[in-house]
Amino acid sequence: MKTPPWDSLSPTTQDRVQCYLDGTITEDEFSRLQDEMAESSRLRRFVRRSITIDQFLSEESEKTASQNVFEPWLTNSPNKPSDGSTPILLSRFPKSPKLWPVALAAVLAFGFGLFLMSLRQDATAPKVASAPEFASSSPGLADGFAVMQKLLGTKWSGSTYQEGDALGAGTITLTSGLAQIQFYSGATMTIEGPAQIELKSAWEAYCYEGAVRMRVPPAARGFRLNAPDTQIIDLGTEFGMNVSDGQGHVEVFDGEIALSHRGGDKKILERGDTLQFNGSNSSPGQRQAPIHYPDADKFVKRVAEQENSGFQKWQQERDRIAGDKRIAAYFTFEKKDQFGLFPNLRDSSDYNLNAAPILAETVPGRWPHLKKAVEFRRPDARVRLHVDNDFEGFTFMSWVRIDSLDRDYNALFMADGYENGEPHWQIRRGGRMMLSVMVDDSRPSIYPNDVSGYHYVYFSPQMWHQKLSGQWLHLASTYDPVRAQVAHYVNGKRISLETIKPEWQPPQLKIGNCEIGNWGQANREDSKYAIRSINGSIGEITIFRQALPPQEIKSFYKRTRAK
Amino acid sequence: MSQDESKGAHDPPYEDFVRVFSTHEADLRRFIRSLLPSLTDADDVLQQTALVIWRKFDQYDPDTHFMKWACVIARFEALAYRRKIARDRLVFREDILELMAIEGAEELTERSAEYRALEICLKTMNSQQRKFLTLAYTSGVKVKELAAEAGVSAASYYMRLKRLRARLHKCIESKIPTLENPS
Repeated sequence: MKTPPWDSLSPTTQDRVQCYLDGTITEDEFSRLQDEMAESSRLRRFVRRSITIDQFLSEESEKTASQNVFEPWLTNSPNKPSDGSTPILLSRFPKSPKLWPVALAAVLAFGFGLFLMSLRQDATAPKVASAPEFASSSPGLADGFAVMQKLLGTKWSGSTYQEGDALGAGTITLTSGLAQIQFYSGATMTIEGPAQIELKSAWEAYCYEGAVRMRVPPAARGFRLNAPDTQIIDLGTEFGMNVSDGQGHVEVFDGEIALSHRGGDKKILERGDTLQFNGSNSSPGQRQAPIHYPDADKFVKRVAEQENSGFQKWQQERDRIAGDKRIAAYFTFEKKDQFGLFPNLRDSSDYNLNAAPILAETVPGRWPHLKKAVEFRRPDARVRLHVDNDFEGFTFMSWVRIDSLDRDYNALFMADGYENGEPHWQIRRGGRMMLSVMVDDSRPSIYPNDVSGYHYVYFSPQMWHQKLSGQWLHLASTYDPVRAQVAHYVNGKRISLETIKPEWQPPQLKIGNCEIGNWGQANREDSKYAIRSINGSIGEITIFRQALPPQEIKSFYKRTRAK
Repeated sequence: MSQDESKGAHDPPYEDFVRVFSTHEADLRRFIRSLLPSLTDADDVLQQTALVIWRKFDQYDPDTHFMKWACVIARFEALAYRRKIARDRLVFREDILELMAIEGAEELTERSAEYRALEICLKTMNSQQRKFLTLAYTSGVKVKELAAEAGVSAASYYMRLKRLRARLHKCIESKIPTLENPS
C-alpha cells in the first residue's frame, strides 16, 4: 500500500490533519478525524507521514537552537573570537567504549532522558577539527589537564578564557595582562602578555613568544618547558623564560633546571644563573639589560587589590538593591545574627524574616577573601525561611557556583509543600533550569511516576556543563501570570521564553515556608526524588514579588557581577 | 542505589545495549512521536522505553530486529502514558493509538526514506521559507508573536505553514515513489 498523496485527500481532511498538527483542532473535529482514521488505513498512513514531516522540522529547529544556545555567556570578554572557536560545551558520551558502562551506570542513577539527549547531540555535533585551538579540540573535562586560575586585565587574541576554565591541549594567545595557569601536575605558570603559549599536557608546554614564570613544586619535577630549539626540564624550582623573535632568555630564581639547546648536551643551571639563546647558539647571559619576568607575588597582590575594589562596588549595589520595594527576600549570606540566622536584607531589623542554615556551611564566595557564600554539600544541607504572600508574579535571581549536578533535581529555591500556587526553582541533572508552579495538587500529574499533582515544568535549554564547574553564574527565572510567560536567564541573557497555557494558569501565587538549596527530607521513601541538595554554593539570592522584564534582569546581572 | 542502577556497570552486554540503543534511538523517538501529541510527551515515553529496554535487554535476541522489539515496548509505554495524559484533548483514542503503533512499526524503512527525502526537499526551499519553518517549529515560540512580527494574521500564518507542509508532502512523493512498500 502506498501513502496517499497530499492531493488525494479532501480539503476538509487536509485541514483536520493540519489543525491536529498545529494543536488548534477543536474537540469535535478531532473526534471526526479519529473516526475517519479508524475507518481508513490510508489516512492513518498519511497522518504518520505528516507527523514525520513535523518531527523532521522540529529536529531541524532543535539543531539550529542547540548550535546557538551555548555560546553567549561562556565568554564575557568584548574581544570574543569571530571564528566561532569559543568552546562549545556539549555534554558528551565518553568516546572510549570502555567508559560506557560506567557512564551508563551513572546515567541510570537517573536522568536517562538527558543521557539520550547527550547521545543525540553527539550524533548531530559537527566533527571536531584537529585545529590547535584547544577551545575546539577539548570539549570535555576529561581532556583538561590544567585550570585557568587567575586573570588580571587580560586581553586575548582568538579564544578567550575565564577564571576556572579547564584547559586542554592547545594554544593560548594573550595580547596583554597577566594569567596564571595551574597544571594538574602541580606546576604553576604565570604569563604576561603579549605571549603565545601552547599547552601540551600537565607536564609540558611550549613558549613561542612572551615572558613566563614557572613555579614547580617537588611533585611536578620533570615539567618541561620548550622554546624554539630549546628544552628546559625543571628539576624542582622557580624560573623565568622570555622569548622574543626567536631570541630567548632564561633565569633561575630558585632550585635548578636542566636545559638543552638544539639537541645539544644538557646544561644544569642553578639559582641566579641566566642563559641567553638564539637560533644557533646559547651563552651565559650578561646582565646588561634586565629582563622582565612576571612576578607571581606581585600578581597575587594585584589580584587582591582588584578583588577589594570589585567587592566595594558590589557592596554599594547591594545596599541599593536592599531598598527595592518589590523584593520579598534578599540574602547575601555575609554574616549571621546572634541566633546564627542569615538576615533578610529586605529588612534586616525584622528577625522573623531571617533564614536558618541547617548543615549548610559558610564558604568563601565570589570575592574569596571578602565575601562568603553558603554551601550545600551534605544531602541534608539547606537554608530555611518563611516568605509572606502577596505575589503578582515571581522573579528568582541568584549567583550560584555549581560544582556538579549530582542529583536528578538540584534545588535552588523550593516552596515546602508544593501546594497550589507554590513555586519550585531547580536545575535538572544535565543542566537545564526548571521553574514550575503547582496548578492543582488534587489532580494527577501529567508526568509519569510523579505524585505531586497537576503542574507543568518550564525548562530552559541545557545551560550548564561539567566544564562550568566552579564558575559563578548569575541565574534568573521569571514567572509572569499576567503576560502568561516564563523566562530563564543566564548571566543576564534570556535563554528561553515559554507561554503559560490557560490550563496551566495556577490559582493565586504564594510561597510561605520554603528552602534554599534543598527540598524536603532526604530520607523519604521515594529516594529517587528525595535528595535535591545542590552540590555547590549560593552567593546571593533575591526573590521579587513580580516578574521583572529582561532589561532589568540584565541590569541586575551587570550591577552585581564581579568587576 | 537500586538493583537496576547497580547492575552491570562493567558488564559487556550493557556496552551492547548502549551501542544498539544509540543506533536506533532517533528512529525510536520518531516512532513514539507519531503516537503522541508532542515531542515533550515523546521524550518522556522514550525515557521510559529506554529504561524498560535496559531492564529487559537480556531477553533481546541479537539475531532479531531490534527496532521491531523496541517498537512493541514503546507501544505499551505510549499506551500507559496515554492514560496519564488522557485529559489532553490532542491525545489519540486508545484504538487509534494501537493501530498507529502496529502499522507504524511496519513502516520503519519508509520513515528512513522519508527522512532522506526531507533532507533533500528542505534544501530546495529558499532561505526565507526555511527560516519560517525553523521558527515555527522552535519550542516555546508563540504563533501570535510570530505572525505579528511578520505583519500577518494568525490565520494566514497557518495557511502559509500548511502550504509549505503540502509542498514537502509533494516533494517526498516525487522523491520516493519507488520506495513505497508494495505489500
